[in-house]
Amino acid sequence: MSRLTSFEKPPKLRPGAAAPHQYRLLGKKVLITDEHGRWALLTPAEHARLLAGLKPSDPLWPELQARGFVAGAFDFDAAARRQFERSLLSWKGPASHVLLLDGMGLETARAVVEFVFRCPGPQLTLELVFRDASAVWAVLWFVVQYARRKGEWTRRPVFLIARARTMSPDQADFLRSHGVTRALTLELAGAPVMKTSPPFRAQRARAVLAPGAVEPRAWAEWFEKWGFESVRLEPAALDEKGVADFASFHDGFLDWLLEHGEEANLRDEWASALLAGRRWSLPGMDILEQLAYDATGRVFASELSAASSESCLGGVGELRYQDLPRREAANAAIAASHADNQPQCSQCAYRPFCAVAPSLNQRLQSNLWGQTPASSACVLQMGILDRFFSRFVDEKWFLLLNKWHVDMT
Amino acid sequence: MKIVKGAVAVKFGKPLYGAEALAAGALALGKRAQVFVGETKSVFSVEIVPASRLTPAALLALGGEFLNEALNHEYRQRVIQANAPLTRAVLAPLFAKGFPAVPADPLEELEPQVKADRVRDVEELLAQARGMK
Repeated sequence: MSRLTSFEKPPKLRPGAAAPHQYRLLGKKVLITDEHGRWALLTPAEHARLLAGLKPSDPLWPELQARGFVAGAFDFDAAARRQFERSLLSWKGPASHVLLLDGMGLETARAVVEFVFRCPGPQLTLELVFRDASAVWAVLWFVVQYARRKGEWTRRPVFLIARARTMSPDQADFLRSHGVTRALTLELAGAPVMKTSPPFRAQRARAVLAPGAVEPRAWAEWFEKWGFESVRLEPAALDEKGVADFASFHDGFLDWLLEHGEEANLRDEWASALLAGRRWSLPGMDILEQLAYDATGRVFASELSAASSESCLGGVGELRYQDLPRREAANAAIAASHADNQPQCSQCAYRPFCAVAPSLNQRLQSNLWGQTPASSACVLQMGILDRFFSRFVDEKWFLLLNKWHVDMT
Repeated sequence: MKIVKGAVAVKFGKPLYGAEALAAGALALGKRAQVFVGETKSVFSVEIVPASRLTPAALLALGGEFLNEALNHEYRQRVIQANAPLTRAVLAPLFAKGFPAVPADPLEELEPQVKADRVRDVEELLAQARGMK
């Protein structure tokens, strides 16, 4: 079983005609992508012309040459620059740090913030995750204040996000006045009741689709009505039914956004996460983009792996940031992140956009490398990307992505 | 693949499969099964004994999972070998020197008072936070 697509009758290939690329059949189109996410949506006839060797007089030539798909006119300097900028050769350190605050003490919080600021990188994001702000208020208050001060002292921009299920208006006001983005975690069950307000005013939402969640368009309207700026939909479970329910819900959600894109402020976080956010052309967030810290100050490769002691990299008290590459768990996660090390992934058209992290494989298949043919996470994300790329025939989709600061031109 | 007395028996031909592939398969099954390996010059004989009694369908699924992982492992090694020059160029420098910690703040180093003021500032924050409990 493969998640990849193949031609019934493969087109003829003239060696040296087309630059290296991956392809995927999307309905009646052929999507081609390069290693760093440059792409083109072609008809099978156009793709066949590319493989056979485009002539400069061909109407396709300017576009495909500019995107680096014509081997004879390949810009090696630009490719080298791109390889440096978009690969780990220019990696500066994990930028995102997830602090799981429920049950964390003040001294641990202090040590965690100090560890975070020992990580290099031009900017840092601290995502503070908890259920109820009242239960962690002292720690939350301290982390916000201390991280702000550390940002000033180290002259680094610090972005703070508070992700919760509930907080009081006063707590939300405090966070807003300290420049903290509020994110609401909620379950979508059934259809929304338009006049029912969310537990607190938030800019972002992480919405888990409970079994039986219906009316994605109405939910989109609900999020828009209550002032959310972005939503990340999540399946209730990564099994066959959960993925299928997610696919149809997400499709309806995107349709609403496409129809109301001009006047609405809402955006789909998957679009920015997969299309614009893949800084390193590597799947997932483990270590390279994210570190997570649990209530006892243990450091993990990502939020997803925070429950697994196998993925523990050490405690903030004794672990030094510079020792991370000497940890076996770190080595394994980084090696498993590299698509060139993976069967199928190395040929996948979506590898520049992939966010199936090794820690997700570990959780689903008890294996950092994952078995991509059977991975439901792979099905979910390839489905999302299929929905995104198949919409590129519509000019409105480009305009909407531009509005969301996702440049796919 | 055969079911023999509540276990799964599989033969793996050499040299297509190596011992590492069988180890990867065993790792994928974890505590759900014990894996016994016998060897001749041309074949590995593997017996997968589940930790608990399983139906024939569940036994076949267990054996299939082992086979999947063993095949995946073998194929992955070939992909890794084929792409080694590229991945080595990117990953080796990262492991060798890719995690430099932020150096100490020169202002704190040059002005001990700055460091002392900051430490006091943090202690005051902590005291204030403790008062909230």
